[in-house]
Order: sequence, then C-alpha cells, then structure tokens
Amino acid sequence: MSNVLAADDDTNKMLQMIFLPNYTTSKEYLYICSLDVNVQLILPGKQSCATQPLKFTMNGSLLLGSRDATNMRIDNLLGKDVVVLFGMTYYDHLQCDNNKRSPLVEKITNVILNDKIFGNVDPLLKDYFEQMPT
Amino acid sequence: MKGDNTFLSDFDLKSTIFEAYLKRVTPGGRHVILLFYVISKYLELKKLVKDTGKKITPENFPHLVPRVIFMGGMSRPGDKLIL
Repeated sequence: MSNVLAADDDTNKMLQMIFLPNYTTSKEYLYICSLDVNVQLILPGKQSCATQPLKFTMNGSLLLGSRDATNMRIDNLLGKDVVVLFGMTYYDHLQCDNNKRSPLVEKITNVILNDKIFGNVDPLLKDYFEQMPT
Repeated sequence: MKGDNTFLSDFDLKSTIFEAYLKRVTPGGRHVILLFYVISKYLELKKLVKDTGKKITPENFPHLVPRVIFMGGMSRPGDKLIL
C-alpha cells in the first residue's frame, strides 16, 4: 500500500504511508515526542489500547480514536481540546446488528478485493475481509 | 523506500501532519482498521482529482494539509489471524 501511495502522482504530495518494521516499546521514544496525531483505532471492548495514548498525549499529540476505555478516560480528564473520539461504544456494539456493514466499509472492501488497486490479496486475508462485520 | 534520499523531499515538513498507529500486530487484526482509514483518505483525494481534474498538491489546494501516516508493529511467534 505504501508503494502504491508513493507511486500515484496525483496524490503522493499529500498522502504518504510508512511502515516501521519490528516496532517495539523500546523504540517508542523515537516517535512519541515527534507526532502530531496519535491514532488509536481499535474495536471497543475487544483489545484495550492500554497506556499508549497516555504517553503520546502527555508529549503533546492530539488523540484521534474510538470510544474505548483509555480514550474515554483521557477525554473525560482533558476534554475536547486534545481528544477527538468517534464511533460507537461497547454497549452500542452489543445492540447493533453485526451482520450489517456500513456503506463505507463495503466500498473499501470492494476496492481491496475487486479493484485490486493494492495488488493481489492473500487468500487468508480475503476470508478475513469477507467475514469482517460492520 | 529504504535508502531513498528523495522520499518526502516534496513535503513541507513544518506544515505536514504526522500520524502514527504503533501497536503490536495482534491476531485480532486491528491494523486492518488503520488500512481502512488510509484507503478512505486515498479515495477522498482520488474523488477530488476526478471532480476538479487537478493534481492534489499544496499549491492547487492550499486548504488541504499534507499527511504522513506511520504504521508500526511486530507480531509474536505463533500468532494466527482470528477469523
């Protein structure tokens, strides 16, 4: 995906993506102090993002994330100036119909699987995309 | 990309937003959510190209901010993707 974004002349001066292999917490000090936006997109109730948003927010980055435990606590403490949350909470997830997908997810899944802009998809990942809810 | 000195040379790094999603790669596949986020941004920009017929550059669209997204991760041995 990074190569596709870099090769697209229409958009490569506005959007780039970099993969950092073998990222561990011992290398975290290299990135924590230099970021503008700290993305914490996780499924509420599935996997907590633990203390990482605290570390990033304490060093001055904005927090963009879903309504999960730590994100909501930081939101309650610091307010809307540094935190932007969106999406459903865990209890909303329990009530919604997981077999329905949003139109945007459907569109992006189509782009990945059918248009093949980002190359061929691994069969295991293809199953994952086809069974992925909401 | 590795060892490419011209990478990000077109970017005005002072006005660029640096975003990061740095997490351990888990069987739940939470990095996929970031991929969806990046693709949605990419499709927005491509739609803008289609509508206006211009390349997306800071000169043509001064109200847009350049964006660099980092994704980091490492998996544990023995992890399998949960379906």
